Amino acid sequence: MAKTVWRHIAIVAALVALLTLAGGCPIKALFGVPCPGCGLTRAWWEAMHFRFGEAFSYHPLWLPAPFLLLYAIHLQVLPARFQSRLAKAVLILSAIAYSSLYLYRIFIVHDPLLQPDFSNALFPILFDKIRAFVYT
Amino acid sequence: MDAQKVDMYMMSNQKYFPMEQAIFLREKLLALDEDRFPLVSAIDLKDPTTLLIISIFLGSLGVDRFMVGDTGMGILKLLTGGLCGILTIIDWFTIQKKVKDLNFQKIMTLL
Repeated sequence: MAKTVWRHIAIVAALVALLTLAGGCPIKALFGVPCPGCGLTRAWWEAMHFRFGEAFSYHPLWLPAPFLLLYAIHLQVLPARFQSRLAKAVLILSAIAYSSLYLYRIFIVHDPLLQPDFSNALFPILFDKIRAFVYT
Repeated sequence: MDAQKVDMYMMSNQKYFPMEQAIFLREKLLALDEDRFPLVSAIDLKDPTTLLIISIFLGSLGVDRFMVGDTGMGILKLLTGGLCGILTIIDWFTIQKKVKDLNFQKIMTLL
């Protein structure tokens, strides 16, 4: 019982630290690179104002994302035919699509939204310190 | 299965299973037919420590969830960066237990 309580306290403390000290995107603050969903909200905002060109410039796959997310979250309470192998295949294909898009945006077209910034992020700074310590 | 074989199996594979189920698992193994042992030793068990490392570095891309078979939540983590870091951090602390439970489920289908 006590071990679980300590674990909860640790998780909450880590979350509070992350979300208050980071300011802005937590993933960027942790890793230096934003997540594959970066720009989704901005894309939808543009789309809601019928500025579809800008929408695609913020995130090329903005349209399926919320529906995919809702499907993924509620998967286990849906009727059985939504949980078939076809459904699983759809999820895996989307994972591949969004991951490929992510890598494409970072490495091939150098999308300004997803440019790595390793100077302010926790893990890159930690790695740098460890590397400096090991190689002196 | 004879006790010596069971003890050897338990010793080398203890880290893959939840601690609370160790005794239960041992009893089930003792009651198992000798000729089913190859099946038991052949099943693919995931290493909790490996998955912890994967969760720390690739957790915000959902890779850890995909590897425990949770495709839906994996997509959720992929598309939202682990719910903006929240689920990422929570999974750092809960992934090892999830892996052990998954391994236990897997082996119980054979016993």
